[in-house]
Amino acid sequence: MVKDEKPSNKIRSNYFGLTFNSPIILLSGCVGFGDEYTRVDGYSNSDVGGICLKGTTLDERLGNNAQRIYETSDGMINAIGLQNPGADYVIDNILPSLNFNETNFIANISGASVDEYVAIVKKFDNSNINALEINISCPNVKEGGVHFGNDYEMTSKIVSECRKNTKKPLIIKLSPNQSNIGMSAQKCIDAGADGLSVINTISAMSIDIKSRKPVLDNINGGLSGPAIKPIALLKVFEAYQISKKYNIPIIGQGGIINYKDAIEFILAGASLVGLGTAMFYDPLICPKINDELVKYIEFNEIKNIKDLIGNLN
Amino acid sequence: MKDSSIYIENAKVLNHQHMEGGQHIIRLESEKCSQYAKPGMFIHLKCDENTLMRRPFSVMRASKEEKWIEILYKTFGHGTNSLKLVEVGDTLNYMGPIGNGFSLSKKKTIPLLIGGGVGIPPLIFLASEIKEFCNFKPIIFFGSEVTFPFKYFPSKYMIKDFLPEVTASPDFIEAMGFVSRLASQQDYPGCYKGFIHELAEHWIKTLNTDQLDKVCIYSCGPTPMLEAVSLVARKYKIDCQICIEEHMACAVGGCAGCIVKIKDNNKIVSKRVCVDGPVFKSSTIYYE
Ligand SMILES: Cc1cc2nc3c(=O)[nH]c(=O)nc-3n(C[C@H](O)[C@H](O)[C@H](O)COP(=O)(O)OP(=O)(O)OC[C@H]3O[C@@H](n4cnc5c(N)ncnc54)[C@H](O)[C@@H]3O)c2cc1C
Ligand SMILES: Cc1cc2nc3c(=O)[nH]c(=O)nc-3n(C[C@H](O)[C@H](O)[C@H](O)COP(=O)(O)O)c2cc1C
Ligand code: FES
Repeated sequence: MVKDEKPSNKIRSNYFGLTFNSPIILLSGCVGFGDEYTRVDGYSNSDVGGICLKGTTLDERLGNNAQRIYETSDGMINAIGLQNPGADYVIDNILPSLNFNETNFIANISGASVDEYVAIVKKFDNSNINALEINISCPNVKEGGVHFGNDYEMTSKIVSECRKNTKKPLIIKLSPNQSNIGMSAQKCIDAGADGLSVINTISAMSIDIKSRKPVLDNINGGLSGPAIKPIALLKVFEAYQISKKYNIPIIGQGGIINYKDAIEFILAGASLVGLGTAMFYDPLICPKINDELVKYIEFNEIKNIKDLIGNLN
Repeated sequence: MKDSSIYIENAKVLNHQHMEGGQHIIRLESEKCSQYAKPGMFIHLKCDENTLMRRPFSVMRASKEEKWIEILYKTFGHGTNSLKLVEVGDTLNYMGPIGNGFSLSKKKTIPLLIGGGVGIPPLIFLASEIKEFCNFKPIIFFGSEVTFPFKYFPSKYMIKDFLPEVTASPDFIEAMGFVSRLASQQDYPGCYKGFIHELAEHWIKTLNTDQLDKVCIYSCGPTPMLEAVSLVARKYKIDCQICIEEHMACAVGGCAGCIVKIKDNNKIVSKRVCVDGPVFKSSTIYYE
């Protein structure tokens, strides 16, 4: 269902030359390749500022064996293992079916080597995608992923090589599984990043005490949802201490399920806010959060949501 | 863009029945889901406001006229244990109907329904649809390791060349005029003592080739049971549709959390149980 009415301009903002009608970004891996939620009556992609597509690799990946997800206290662990049909398929078959008038679409790119990242970036650079998010923080694959994100030298290399090969906005998705996220942010910015996504899921596991086996076939997975919010918030705050010097926007994420969470992330330094796990709970949550954000802004007599970014007393 | 076919309902609980074996039937108001639900489709239900993830449950009955749906659930973990506390008049939030249900084929005039445990509900729905929309004469086998969630009696319908001591049949199936029998590992009167796929195989052996040609299996239940049923189907070259369970997060195809591996032209592909299933042809499932 396409709604005529766009969210209020009080929550509209511009970054990387793109207009975001709402600060809400739907997060990679939670909303398929951009139109899965349109199955839900009342849902519209135009209620969000952007949608990150599922992590895409050069070649098709089957992903991990079941069981892939597990509910934990106030969160969930997933080990999908980057199931995706490969970059060519996404570009040739999926992008043409998306309605780019409704929102911005952001590709999420994963590789097992610098060469793979570069090859995918080149492919998307020739497409109509609005921006690229480089995932150097996936906890669920054996090669690359989070290991790259924890290695500053590797981080610099991936970002600078990707930068050389695209003019599209380049957002780097950082891992919380590192002690100095500020340093990581600095390396990304120095190497040419236009934005940062903070944070990806946190490495975690669950054990079934009856079978005495790990619940997930992959053993480890990524923890998401409200359980990780306080950690995510601090990581955004820390990354912002660096990014604000360069005016680099942050997509704050990790456990946001209502407008209060969103405001907290914005106050910690996020320009845009990501929702993933919350969509599983309530697929119609975005317009509700938009409305509440507008109310909050009006009540506090603020002109635009941008004025709240990092605006802690 | 997909067709908007999944509705989110804030629904009143119209009835909540508690039975032996931790089994419960809950009837929910349903403006939309009741109109479009088909056997094998499910709803994704918030068991309580504080539980993050929704829970999937098959639709057992749907009334288009009275606008309600029913699910039958067994208490298992914290979601279903909190669901059982819900009272008539309370409101529950669910999304549905979700997925591809069973599809009846015109040529397969002898539907063989095999339901185990919480796999029984979608087959109750299928039996009602068969009763309402076609003149097929299904045969229905249900199995349970806890007291059956319905009354059963010795059937008035005889099955030729079949186990004479196995007579138990659910009252409501009998009332539909359909033949049914029950199986359990427990010592329940008139029930087959053993696995349900064995009971089904006993019946299949009574058929001649002409009859066998007209059979299609529709099954839902725990994974080991579905594997056993699939083997029986393969052995007798019977078409077989199974409704499978997998852990789910979004239930709209967005997270790829709920996959099953499927054989597709000599290739193995991952399909999502929620929107590509939950009903699949058993011959396409790839068992490692
Ligand atoms: C398509 C489908 C139809 C179903 N139909 C029915 C039905 O008609 N009646 C019924 O009683 N049960 C049904 N189930 C199983 C039902 O979803 C689980 O029993 C229920 O989710 C358990 O939740 P819990 O909080 O009590 O258990 P917990 O163990 O506390 O749940 C923890 C997590 O694991 C998930 N989970 C646990 N068991 C299962 C399972 N068997 N399948 C999928 N997810 C599971 C839960 O959803 C939750 O996310 C169905 C499952 C699927 C996939
Ligand atoms: C099921 C699932 C799959 C995910 N897949 C990806 C992925 O492919 N690429 C990626 O960068 N992040 C992936 N993530 C991480 C999310 O994009 C997000 O960063 C994280 O879940 C934190 O946000 P949340 O708490 O709002 O879900 C995935 C998360 C979930 C729950
Ligand atoms: S549960 Fe998310 S794709 Fe099926």
